[in-house]
Amino acid sequence: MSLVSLQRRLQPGPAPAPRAPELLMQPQQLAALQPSRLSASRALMVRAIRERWSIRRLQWSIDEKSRGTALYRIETPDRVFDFPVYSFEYRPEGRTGRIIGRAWDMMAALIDGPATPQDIAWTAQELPKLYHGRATANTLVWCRSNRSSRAFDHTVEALAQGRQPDIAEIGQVCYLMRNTGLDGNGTFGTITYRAIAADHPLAAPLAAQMLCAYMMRVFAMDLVHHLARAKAPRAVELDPRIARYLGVGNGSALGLVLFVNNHPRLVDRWLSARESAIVAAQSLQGQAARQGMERLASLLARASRFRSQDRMLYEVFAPSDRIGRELADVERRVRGLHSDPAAMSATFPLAQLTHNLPASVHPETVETLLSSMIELVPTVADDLGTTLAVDEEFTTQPSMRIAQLREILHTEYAWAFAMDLAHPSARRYVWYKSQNAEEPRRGPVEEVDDVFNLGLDLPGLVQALDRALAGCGAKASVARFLLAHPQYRAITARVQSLRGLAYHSPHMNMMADDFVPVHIVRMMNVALHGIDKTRDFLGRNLRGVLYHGAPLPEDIARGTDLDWFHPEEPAC
Amino acid sequence: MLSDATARSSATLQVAVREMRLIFERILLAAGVPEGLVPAVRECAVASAAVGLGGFEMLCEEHERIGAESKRALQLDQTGTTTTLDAQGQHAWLVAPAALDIAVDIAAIAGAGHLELRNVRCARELGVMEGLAHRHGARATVTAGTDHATVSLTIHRPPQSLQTWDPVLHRAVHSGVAVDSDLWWELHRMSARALAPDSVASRRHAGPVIVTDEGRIIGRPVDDDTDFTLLRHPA
Repeated sequence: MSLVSLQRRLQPGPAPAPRAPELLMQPQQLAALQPSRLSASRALMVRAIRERWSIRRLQWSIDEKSRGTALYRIETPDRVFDFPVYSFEYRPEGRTGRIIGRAWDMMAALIDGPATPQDIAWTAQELPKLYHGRATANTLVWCRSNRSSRAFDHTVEALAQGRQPDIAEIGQVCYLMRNTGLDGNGTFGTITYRAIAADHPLAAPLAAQMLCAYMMRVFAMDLVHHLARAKAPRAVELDPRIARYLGVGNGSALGLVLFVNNHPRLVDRWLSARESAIVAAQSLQGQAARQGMERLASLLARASRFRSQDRMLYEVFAPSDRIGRELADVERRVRGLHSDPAAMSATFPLAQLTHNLPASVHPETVETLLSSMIELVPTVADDLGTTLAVDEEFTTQPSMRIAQLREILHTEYAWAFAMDLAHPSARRYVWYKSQNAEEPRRGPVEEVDDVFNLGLDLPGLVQALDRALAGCGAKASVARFLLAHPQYRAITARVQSLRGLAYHSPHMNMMADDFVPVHIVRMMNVALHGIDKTRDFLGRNLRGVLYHGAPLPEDIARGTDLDWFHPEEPAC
Repeated sequence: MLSDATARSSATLQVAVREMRLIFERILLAAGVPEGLVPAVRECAVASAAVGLGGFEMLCEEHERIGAESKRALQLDQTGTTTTLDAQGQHAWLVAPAALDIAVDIAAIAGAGHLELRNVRCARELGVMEGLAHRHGARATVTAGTDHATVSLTIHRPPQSLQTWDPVLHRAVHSGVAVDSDLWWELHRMSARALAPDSVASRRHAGPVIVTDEGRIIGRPVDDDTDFTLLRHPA
């Protein structure tokens, strides 16, 4: 069944309600989700702006070839973080956006609390070892980034010549430096995520990584200014409008599909929070709905302009000009509704608006509308954002009867039973990691020798488990079943532990010929991380822009406007 | 600057549960433990390390035997009120998950579960069940001999937090687990067996562009500055 027909069948009526997992968990639908206030980068900015975090450069010892160190300090109302940066001379050898790269323009660490000189010296020694290095006990994240030579060199050159960079040139990329590694908490000796207290400013999932990404952007700006001044003492500074427009780049790939396999509760909790926020917005009535329509129209106008000015090319994703046109049309509908008392007298006018959109409207347009609606209930969204920390532990329920386990399988995994796994195309790929940099890879079975498959074959496991269970008595316990069939222990624990959660696993066969990995990568990058302009490559890699339009440190310190996203391309 | 060798041989490391799980899982997978059983055995190894049983050393020394034993079947015998699990000479970490399930299942019906285990290799390692039982809302007491043990288990309250779900794991998450540096790096090296050797062909299985044997680039140009020799020659 196509996504459009599925949408027609499963789209909730005008009464606000979370969407059915049969619709939402389709990979194509997940790929259409858009950044929102619940995305990790945006949520971090909301907190930083509201609490007026201070970001200062404490030290800068970098030469005209970019070699040296810098130290930044981030102060929140009750906590201090340090961000030592180790900067290196540009060299083309060993350079790639992939994790297998061997050249980085900067490496850095986010340290919880003021860094001592010993912390900084130890980190300088250990960071370059990567998988063989050990962080200090107070380190939250290690990270590294590379410049986009095209935009970076152009900007340095322009500033040195006393002029601003050409927007048409930097608008092709929209960043100066690109994240090439934001390591998870609890790797290389860094602080484990679950050891971070609930009242910590970086307690939200991925918040520490998002702060590192923001700091990469801060450093990139300082470095272009420094290098421009090194070239010409009378170099000018970037116009703040351009500086805000430039985000930080991000490259992501297959590893995020494995992340989704391993974080089903986070995926469920996050998607549930997003659906709850949308339902709260669609439930607005009366005066709140009228005010909401006004704000919604303004947000949609900005989103439409942002898409129309997008210079990126996409392979499998919709061209932005189409989304821009459709958003303009949705904005007109919103304005029309707002001025129509009869329409506004509907019980749930915002739900009605969504329900009445033509089926031809692209899912990305619909999702932009829904993300914009979340802005109408900021307190609800921010409160939901505090509920995202989860544990991903599984346990068996040994006393459950076989009949009940089979019922769960057939009720919650009907999508998996509907897949024809006997067809050769259903088993086309194997997922593995390379010894070199542990890069996640996905290759056709016939091209890969003797590797351990690391992908989660959820439909295959569910079908196999059900076949094995069918051979046991319905009243037998799971304990007895697993005694005889220990190979099903992991899938049994997963199914039992995730029972009742609607949105934990995309409805996908990631081994199949027709599975497009970038759909899941995009859900993570766009919806969860909040990345804009995610260009797709070969159906498996994305390049996008984080903090596109985000406030500069001085804006954050003065508690600037929270509406920084979907920036207008600077005219200068 | 300290050399790698100096840094690695000088100290005890404090490693995170996340790292232990990753490394242990890869070692067990490479040793031949069935994929669906690996996470449960890994949790036994992590618990063992966290409570100061065999842990890291045992995994280092025993992983190949554990892999070889992992396909053997356990045998359950119920005679009267006595339930006995014959491990057929398997290592305790392979036995503990099933033994715990059986004890919990018995306790759920009878209020308390008693299980006799025999023919268990490294039976003292069954002590990990005391920590793991919390995950089922149970309390377990394990009395182990050289190759046998008795497990007594009672059901309490379902766990409400990570702390009650597994207090041992909770402590380990917050404090990490101490390990000899050399031993850790040896385990790290062993775990790489679960990863695929690098090759030019394998490098085509990831990345935004593909470079063919003839040097042709498949895919749109990306604004990464790419050193294409990385994609045309082995590392």
